[in-house]
Amino acid sequence: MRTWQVFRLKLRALLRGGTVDRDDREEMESHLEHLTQEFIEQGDAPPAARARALREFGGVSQLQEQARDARGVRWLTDAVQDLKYGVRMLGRSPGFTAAAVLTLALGIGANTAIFSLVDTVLFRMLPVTRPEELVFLRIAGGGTPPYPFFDRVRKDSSSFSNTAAMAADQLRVEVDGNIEQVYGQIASGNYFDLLGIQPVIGRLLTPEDEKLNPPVAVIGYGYWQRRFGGDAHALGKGVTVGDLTFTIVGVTASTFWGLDPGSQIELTLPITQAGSLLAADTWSWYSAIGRLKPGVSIGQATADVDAIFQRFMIDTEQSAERRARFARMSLSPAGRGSSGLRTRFEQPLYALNAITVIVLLIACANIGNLLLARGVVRAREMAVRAAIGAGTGRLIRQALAETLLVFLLGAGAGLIVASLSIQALTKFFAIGRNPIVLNVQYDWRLAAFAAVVALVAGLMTGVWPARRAARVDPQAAMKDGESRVTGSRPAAATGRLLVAAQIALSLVMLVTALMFLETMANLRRMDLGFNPSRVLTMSLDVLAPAEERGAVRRRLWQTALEEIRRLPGVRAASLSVLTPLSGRDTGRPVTVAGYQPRDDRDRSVRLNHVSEDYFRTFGIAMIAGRAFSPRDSAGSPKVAVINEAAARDYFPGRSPIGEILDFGTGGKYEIVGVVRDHKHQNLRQVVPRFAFVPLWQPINPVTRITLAVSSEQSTGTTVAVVAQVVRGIHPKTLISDVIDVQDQIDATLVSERLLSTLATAFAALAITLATLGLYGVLSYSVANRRAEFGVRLALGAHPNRVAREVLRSVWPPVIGGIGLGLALAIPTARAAQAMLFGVAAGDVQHYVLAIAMLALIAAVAAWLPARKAAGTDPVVALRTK
Amino acid sequence: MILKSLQLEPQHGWAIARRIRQMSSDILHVQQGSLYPALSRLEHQGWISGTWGVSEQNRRAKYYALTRAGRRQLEKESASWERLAGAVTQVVRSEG
Repeated sequence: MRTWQVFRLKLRALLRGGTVDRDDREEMESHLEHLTQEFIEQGDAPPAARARALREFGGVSQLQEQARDARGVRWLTDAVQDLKYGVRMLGRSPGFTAAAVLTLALGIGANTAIFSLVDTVLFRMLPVTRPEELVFLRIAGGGTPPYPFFDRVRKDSSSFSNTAAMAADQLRVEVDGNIEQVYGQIASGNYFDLLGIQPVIGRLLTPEDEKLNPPVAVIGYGYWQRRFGGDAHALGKGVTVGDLTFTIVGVTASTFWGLDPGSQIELTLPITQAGSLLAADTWSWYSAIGRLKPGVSIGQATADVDAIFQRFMIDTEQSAERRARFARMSLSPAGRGSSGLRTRFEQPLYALNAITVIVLLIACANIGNLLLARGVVRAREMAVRAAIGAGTGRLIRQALAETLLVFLLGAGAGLIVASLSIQALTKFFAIGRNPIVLNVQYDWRLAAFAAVVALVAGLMTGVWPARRAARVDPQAAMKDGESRVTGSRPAAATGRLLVAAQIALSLVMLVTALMFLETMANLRRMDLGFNPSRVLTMSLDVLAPAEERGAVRRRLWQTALEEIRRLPGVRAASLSVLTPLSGRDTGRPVTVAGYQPRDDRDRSVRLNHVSEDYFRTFGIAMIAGRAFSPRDSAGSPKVAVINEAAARDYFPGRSPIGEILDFGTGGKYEIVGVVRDHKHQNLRQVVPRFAFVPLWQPINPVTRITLAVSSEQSTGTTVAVVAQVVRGIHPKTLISDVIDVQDQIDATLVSERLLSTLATAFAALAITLATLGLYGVLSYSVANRRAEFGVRLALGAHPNRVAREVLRSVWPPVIGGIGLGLALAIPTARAAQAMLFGVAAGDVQHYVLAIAMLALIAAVAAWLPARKAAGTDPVVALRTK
Repeated sequence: MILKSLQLEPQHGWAIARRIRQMSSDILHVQQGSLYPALSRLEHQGWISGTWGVSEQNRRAKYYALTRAGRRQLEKESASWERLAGAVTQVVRSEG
């Protein structure tokens, strides 16, 4: 009751301070009147009585002030007052406010956007129950033992309260008579239960569902929205995968995308869909996850699982080679999901983070400079306030409140910048055949991050200028004139120091940006060994009853190639299992007479099944022999083409033509040609040994095929026409992964492109800010010295001399900044070395170019103030004093 | 003392001042105005509560009343005051 009353009073004092003040005033006034009345009754004349009453009563204003103190909300009302005043002052200089808020919006926005990326990719825990208990069960070095091992872990291990297996892949499915591609997984029946995922509607998988009687499926929230418009009628619909039709029984929660950050699981089927794979001696086709029992450490569980693994290796009589390669089990925390994306983007993201922090520092330096300049301009105002009794502390708080207000406004605008940038950034990732889809969450954490950054940066920037501004000598400040010049000296010195720091940071950014640009250019200029321009690729897959499938496929392939080659503008068309830089890979052990493999892995060669014209479509040059022709058909002698790397390794110093590649059960192939090496998985990879065999003489059964069309027509036209042709031959054909090879290359360069694009953008921003800072400091000092310049010009000084002097004053901060910048840039470049390509951290030309650019920009920034100084009109300058 | 003056009935500022003057038989002559910050402080400590009403002369006036917490505080303070006063009296007596 009492607490409530007190709280209400404080709240009222806080919110309705004016009313409370008026009430106090009225109360005292009424007392005064009583007192006056009393004195009048005692015989005083009314005016004298009033005066006496006032004397008796004491100073009304002071008493009111005491009453205000008594309310105990002083600091808060002061803060509110400071903020109100701040808003007024900012409103009075909209130019300053706009410049500062815009600068900060970019600085804070960039940081917030990168923070959200870093958070999404590197830090965020999976939205599952107690993620810290989850571990992946893997072989040290990657991969998983055959599935029967997993069954043993389930039965024999005492470390886990639950374990589940899953395997994700692009699936071709038929829904409502349409064939389409979804990113799906097969998973143990207890998968969702282990993770603690709830359905949005329906139910999730149970161990009972592993019996596939009836077959059921669970779909992801994203797929539900995209494919079924979030309609509850999706439940009960059939999804045909392979030969089984699964009934959709539920939809997973919207926050859960699967265990693999960067991709979104759209469909989950019981793991038993894999059929015979579960009993096979196939390695590494699934992933396994376990939930540790409370109190069991990861080390204990590893020992437990490894013991089961070693017994499994002995019981299943694995070869010595396998035992050497798969030595032991290793458990790793799974709370953040699988680590692929993290490993790939950790370094580039930290680099981006560093870059954005530098941008923010430069922005802060700029605002610090603006604040200092403002502080000097407002010295009189501060002096007046000090003279009428404001304490230094109060003045500092006032100035700080204003700064923080600017920073918070900047943070608000920064959030808008951030959300736009995040959209652009996620688009950056989401390209290629296997787009990286980021599950970025716009939640309170972004706003909190922006607010904290704003407060820290604001305090960092604001404290010093505020202290300076508050340290005024009222007397000196009131005497306008020379005091303004002398008073500005330390501020100008600090200003120059800040400019030097900005230049130093800009240099670091510029050097890094140049190096990333060069890296990108090197990668782009790189000889790929094939010609990617105007080649369009797409996956084809047919849906037909199992017994007809093979024949349907062959007919589609052959007819489609013939018809597409006849289309106008088409230079060449081919079919192949792999295409350059598609990210896919297949290999097969091979025996070559005279070649002794070093180990198990060295035994294999990369293998591609290709139709005739494959090399022509991709512009891959023949080095020797011939390419495949339509005569290399199912019935003709088996032939192969190899690449230079294979020729070098297998047949050093002699011609490979006529030699034999022995694929064991796959058959023997005679080498008829050698092609140039061309990039396979990514641009940095050393080209591996490759063998090509005709599509019509397959070693493995070929199911999924990529159609490549080199055409003079635009991509859109080609896609439309080709799709028409293909569907004309067999209507139930899934055409997926349609992508220009050039775009596919871009997809393999996500992190490089991200870094070079953003580093360049931020370097441009940094330089712009530094230029503005330099210009600001100079024009401010010119404005301050107008009188001096006026006098000197009046006494006959040559305008050029004055201009030169101003120009010269630029050099100390610029040169100092460049020196400092070099000292910072060299170690920065070293740290970034791993992300560079064809660029050394010590390459001088980048530093020289960066310095030259900064010097030029500094000269330009100084030019205007210098001209202004030279053009000072003595009469005007002296009159305005 | 302000609390004591409110013990009997709610009062407004002027009346409290008059009462204090009476109670202390004009010996304690504080500056009258300082009553108001004091009232404000007591109110913010939750010992008294003020409500606006109409005075005998038909003017708006703020009436202060003791709250339950205020009453407890008054008891505590008068008890300790009496102990102090008693002690002083004893000291004075024993010397006399």
